[in-house]
Amino acid sequence: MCVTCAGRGWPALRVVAPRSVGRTARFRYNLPVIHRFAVQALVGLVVLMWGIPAPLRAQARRRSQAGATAPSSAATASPLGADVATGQTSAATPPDETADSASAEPANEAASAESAAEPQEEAAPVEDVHHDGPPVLDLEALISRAEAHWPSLRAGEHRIAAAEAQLGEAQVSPFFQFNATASFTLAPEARGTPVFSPDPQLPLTNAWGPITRVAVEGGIPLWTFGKLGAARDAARAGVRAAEIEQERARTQLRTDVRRAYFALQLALDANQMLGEGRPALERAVRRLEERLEAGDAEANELDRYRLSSAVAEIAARSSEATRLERSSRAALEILTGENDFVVPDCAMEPLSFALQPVDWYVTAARTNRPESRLLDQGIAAREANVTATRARYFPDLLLVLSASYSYGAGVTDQTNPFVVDPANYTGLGWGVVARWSLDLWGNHYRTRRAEEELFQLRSQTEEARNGIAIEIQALYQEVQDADRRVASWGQGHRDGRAWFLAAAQAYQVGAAEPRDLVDAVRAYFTNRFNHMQAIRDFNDAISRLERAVGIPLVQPHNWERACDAR
Amino acid sequence: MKQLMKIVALSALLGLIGTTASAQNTPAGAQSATTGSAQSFLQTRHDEVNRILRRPARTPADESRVRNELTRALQNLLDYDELGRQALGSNWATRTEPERREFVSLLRQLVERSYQSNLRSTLDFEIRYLGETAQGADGALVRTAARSRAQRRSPEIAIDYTLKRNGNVWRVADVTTDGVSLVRNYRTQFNRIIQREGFPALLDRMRSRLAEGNAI
Repeated sequence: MCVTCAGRGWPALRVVAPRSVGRTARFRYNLPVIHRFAVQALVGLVVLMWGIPAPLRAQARRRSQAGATAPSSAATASPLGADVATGQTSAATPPDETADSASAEPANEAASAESAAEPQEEAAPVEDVHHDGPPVLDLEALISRAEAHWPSLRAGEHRIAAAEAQLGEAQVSPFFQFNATASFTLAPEARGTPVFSPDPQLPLTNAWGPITRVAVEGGIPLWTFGKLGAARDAARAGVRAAEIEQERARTQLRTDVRRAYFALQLALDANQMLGEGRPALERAVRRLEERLEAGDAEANELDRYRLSSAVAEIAARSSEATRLERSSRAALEILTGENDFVVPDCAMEPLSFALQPVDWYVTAARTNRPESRLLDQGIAAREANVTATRARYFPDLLLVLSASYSYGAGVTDQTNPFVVDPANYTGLGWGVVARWSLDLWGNHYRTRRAEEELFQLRSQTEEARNGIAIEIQALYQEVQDADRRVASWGQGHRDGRAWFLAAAQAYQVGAAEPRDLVDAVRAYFTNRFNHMQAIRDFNDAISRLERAVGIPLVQPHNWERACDAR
Repeated sequence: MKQLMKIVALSALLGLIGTTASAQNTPAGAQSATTGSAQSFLQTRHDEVNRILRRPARTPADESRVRNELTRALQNLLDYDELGRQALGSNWATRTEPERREFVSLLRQLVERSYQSNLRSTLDFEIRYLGETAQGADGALVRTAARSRAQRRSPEIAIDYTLKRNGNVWRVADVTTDGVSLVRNYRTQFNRIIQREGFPALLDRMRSRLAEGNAI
């Protein structure tokens, strides 16, 4: 058997089979993709059997992770030891099987000194349906609905499925590069042998008859020096990137829902507070105007202006609060798809949260944040590209197989194995083929380009991680600032209320003037509003810090205390 | 602000209930005063006033009857002399008997008017008794927290009662609402006015306030 290669941009294989009839078969093969090493053709079948379940396993894993509240990060513990309400660290999500174990070290250090425990408070019911009103949805319920409704998460599911299909293609396709062709044509009869024929060279006047041809040819990669493996590595990186992107989208969605929820609660708190004060002040203005009109010497015009300006300020604040309420409610409706609901009717409270050292969050973010892990997958894909490019220095070894058959009823069958019969032949062939591009010099530059692109991405990754550190620092300062403001304005709120109580008691017995009361009311409302705003800022800053770090900092049901438990 | 006024009314009402109950001669009151804890004593008086307040008053005549019952209950039970003496502090000893009587009368009318206008609104408050701490041999501190059932977003109010036992009878010596002591506040305000303007000016202020009615 001799083997030569030529044809159609790829080497063609001609196998001369030493058959009894001496037929010659011409084989052509086309190998448009890189291939993996396989010592036998059965390797392709084995890979097929392994490759098909793998995406299904990944899909099952993804579905189980989607039901969990924690992202599939490598952290084996979160700083939930900082959750003062529980007083103890909660057990964290076990590390993902594809995650880097090294990323668990910072979280492990933080949690190693604390024991896992169940939360001390049971979560409020997710939904409390009023008998005569819309359902009450707390933060946890709203997040659950948003995750079920928001289109970007559904798009992410499809993105993951597409990436898994791409991985499946990379695993299976190289081993099924076979083509089949069939043809049917008409040709005039031709009689004779290579030595003698009664017919002219182009016997058009002879009777015409059919000629039927069928051919199957293709190849199975035996050894590609890493090209096939690199393709699969790149496809796996694509799957992981799609999963991480889904996680990022989910985390962002939770942050957005929390932001809208806290804003809505702030607006409701503010409106309730302002609703307390406005009617009483308006009543006081009317009474004072009556006394002034009646010529009461004790009535002071300045007090009327003071009261009126307080009423105007309350009206302006009410408008702001109403705007905030409507916009945040609209945002929640869009995010969750729920148009008719109410939130728990309790004042917003600051989260029970103790801040860890900032370095802890920086380290955790660099390791666990989805954007950072996406960069890792990008590096993995570039590394696979470098491997594949380097492998082009070496040839591809393939096992080529072919079979063909042609039958022309009106053409004499030439049984001489040394004679090429275009109408009647049967062919079977196999061979080991080596294809080698000799553009080694050009490949040198391609390899260098791939390497430089890899180094570029690594540098960009380092830059991005430095940027993450800057962002974490800024958010950390926001949390600290909001925490201080909660304490300060909380004290101011208490002092303002005490001021008002004292002024009201004194006013009742004639020991204080209206202006004393108005000043006290203004201070109380201002301090209380600032306190509520500081609480919202604190909770929102923690939510954004959690998104930036990439791991849960607060248990899902500890973002707010149950209304009934307060 | 209406909510804040409820706080003032609630704390003073409960404080007065405690103060006045020392003079209550009903068997139940006497029994709770002599044998019960300070906390149970407060709870009993609070429930009694709530029963009066919850009595239906559909007509103006009913309203008037309830108001009169409450006034009578406060007048029969309230030791305004003690409150007035505490409020004037060191100035009490330097006042003549007529001045003291007029001061106490004006104080009583002002306090009653204020509480009457806000008493019903205190019914929607839920009171939690947080415990009792002994203060010396004859004293007790009872801590409570009040929260509006209707306005759940309003902050909780901390109301602490300082009680002193005189013989077998408990008396509320002071009510501290969110850190503001009623007696100390009155004493500070009255003393300031007396120092700057004199005692007659204080009485003038109280008369003027009584004449103008509630502005809030």
